[in-house]
Order: sequence, then structure tokens, then C-alpha cells
Amino acid sequence: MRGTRLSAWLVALPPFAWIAVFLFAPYCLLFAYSFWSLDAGQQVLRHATLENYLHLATTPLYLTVILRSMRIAFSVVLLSLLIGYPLACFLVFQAGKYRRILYQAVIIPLWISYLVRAYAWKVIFGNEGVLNTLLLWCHATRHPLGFLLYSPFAVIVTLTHIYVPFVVLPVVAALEKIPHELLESSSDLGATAWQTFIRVIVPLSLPGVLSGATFAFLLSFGDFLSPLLLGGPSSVMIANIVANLFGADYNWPLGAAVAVLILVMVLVILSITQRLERRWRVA
Amino acid sequence: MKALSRVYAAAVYAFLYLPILVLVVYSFNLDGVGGFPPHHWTLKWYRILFDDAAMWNAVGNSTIVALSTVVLSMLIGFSGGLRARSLLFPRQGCFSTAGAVAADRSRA
Repeated sequence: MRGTRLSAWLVALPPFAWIAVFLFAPYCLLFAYSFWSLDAGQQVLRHATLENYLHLATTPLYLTVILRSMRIAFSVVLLSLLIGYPLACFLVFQAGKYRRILYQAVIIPLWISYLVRAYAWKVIFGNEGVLNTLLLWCHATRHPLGFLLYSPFAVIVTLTHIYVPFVVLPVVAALEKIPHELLESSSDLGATAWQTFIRVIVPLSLPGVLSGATFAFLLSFGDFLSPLLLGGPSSVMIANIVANLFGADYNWPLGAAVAVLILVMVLVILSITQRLERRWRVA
Repeated sequence: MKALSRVYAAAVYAFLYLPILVLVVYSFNLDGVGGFPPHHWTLKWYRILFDDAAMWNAVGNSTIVALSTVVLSMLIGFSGGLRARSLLFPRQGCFSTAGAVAADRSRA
């Protein structure tokens, strides 16, 4: 008994060391930085101060950008669910013998570099891009629509394209777990297909929906590549601010404070969804 | 109903794959940026690609990084998956999700 415990700990050592060195230590450092400050010569002063957090609280820009990031992330979640949920239902209940291959086809885009797919949307939304050419060709518009690219809209579409698989996969997993007998007894008891869907399938798939939505929300919320490539000044997101503070502005303490704020928000969201998930599992 | 859901699924797959396809089509476009569908087709970009030593150097670097990542994450991830989770985080939840999120962030 004692021996197995020891070996278990030994096996657990590499990942534990990994988490400690590459996850926990950097977060501690980040936390420490967020209380430090810069002197006149851009050198980091290692004296604890609340300066950075006060600056965050008193500068409206940060709140604006955080709210915008949440709005964009929320739109991505809604769109991904709208697109992903019916597809998951199709895969589980109607795809038949093509189910495996169609399921794989949802995963394959994940293997293609994020960067490549973001650039693809740039090609589509550009002034001489695919969409504008198409609209001009069918006379839907006379001049190319300039507002497509470099807008929150472009960012939302790109992020939705990237995170739809993240929603489909957990929803499929949840739908697959629904025992077939439940659906049969539902129809035996006189429920229409629609009633079965609303009162049996949807409630039982909620844990999958929740975990997919959480993934899509958190990953979009912290995204900085899409707003960088496809967003204009009107779609700067909070991760861009962090990247700027650590990069161009060279203000690591303030950047760290923003990062800690994001981290706290992410942990709050995660704990809420975990709690909800546990409740829905039991129900 | 069945036909409708098929059309819907086809539309979703189009949404997932057409952007990637557009990029592939553009690689044969002589005019560079702009103009769709391409007016003049070419293999010029591929010729340049295969002649570009710096590019292949970068491909080599990516391969080295990818292979090393596979080996390292196998070593750490395997033992982690084997035992650590039940041992360290018996109540799972938050941490496993956070770990998954962190893993994806590093990918992007």
C-alpha cells in the first residue's frame, strides 16, 4: 500500500514540477510585478504599491476595453452555439453511417494554424476580397463595403469560425451520453419529436453546452491575434492592451496588473460554470 | 426535416472549410492581393517558395520545435494523465479546465 503511494507520487512528480515551475512560479512573479512600479528612468521599483490597480480603477479606457472584450466573447459564444448545437444534433441523431467521418471533419480545421485561418478571413473581408467581389457581382452593392474588415464584426466572425469546433465537440459528447431508452420512452408516452427535443434532449445536453460555451468565451475573451489582424481601433481587446503594455510601452508592472485582473475574472467565470455544471449534472 | 438538417450541416461545413479553400485558391493567383476569383492562374508563388532557403530553414525550425514538444508533452502529460490528477486534484473541476485552457492558449 505504502509502496504504491510512493510510486504514485513519483509518477506525479514531472507534471507537478512542470506546473510549479512553468505555471505557478510565473503567476507568482506576475502577481509580484503588479504591485511594483516604474521610476522615471523606466526601471522597475520593487516596492509594494497599489498604484497600478488605482490607475486601472480610475482610467475608463480599461473598463471600456474589458466590457468590449466581454461583448465580443459573448457574441462569439452565441454564434458558435447557434452554429454548433444543431450540427452536434445532426451528427449524433441523423448523420448515420457518415457520422465518424463528419465528426472528424469538425476536428480537422483545428489542426490548421490559427494564423492561417485568420488571414483567410482577411482575404475574404478585404476591399477587393471574396465577399465584396461577390456582392458587387450580384449587384447587391455598388461600391465595396469598407466596414467589413477592421471591425468588431470581422473579429467576431473569425473567432466564431475558430471556436465552433470547441462547442460542437462537448455538445456531441453530452448528446451521446443520453440513453436511447429515454428518447424511446418519451415518444412512447406521447411526446412529439419537438417535445422530446425541448424537454429531454436540451436539458440533458446542458453540461456539454456549458463547457463548450465556457471554452469559447474564455478563449475569445483573451484573444489578441484576431483583433490584431482583423480588428481596427474600434475592436481593441484586453489582451492587446496587455501585449502593448509588456511590449511597446514597456510598463511591465501595469501590464501585470491588467493580467492579474483578467486572471481573476477567468477564475470567477470558471468557478461559476463549474458550480452550474455540477448542479445540472445532478438535475 | 431530414433534408433541411442536411442543408444546415452542409452550410456549417462550408463555413468551416471555405475560408481555408479560399486561401488555397489565392496561392495560384498571379495578381497577389485582391481580385477573386483569380484572373490569371500561376504556379509562380510555389516556385518562389521552393527556391526560398530562409523559408525552408523556418520549416526546419518548426519541425524541430514540434517534435520536441511532442516528446516533452508525452513525458509530462503521460505521467500526469496516469496518476497526478486523481492524486493532486481529487475533486477535479476548476484545475483540469484551467489546464486545458492554458494548453490551448500556448498553442495560439
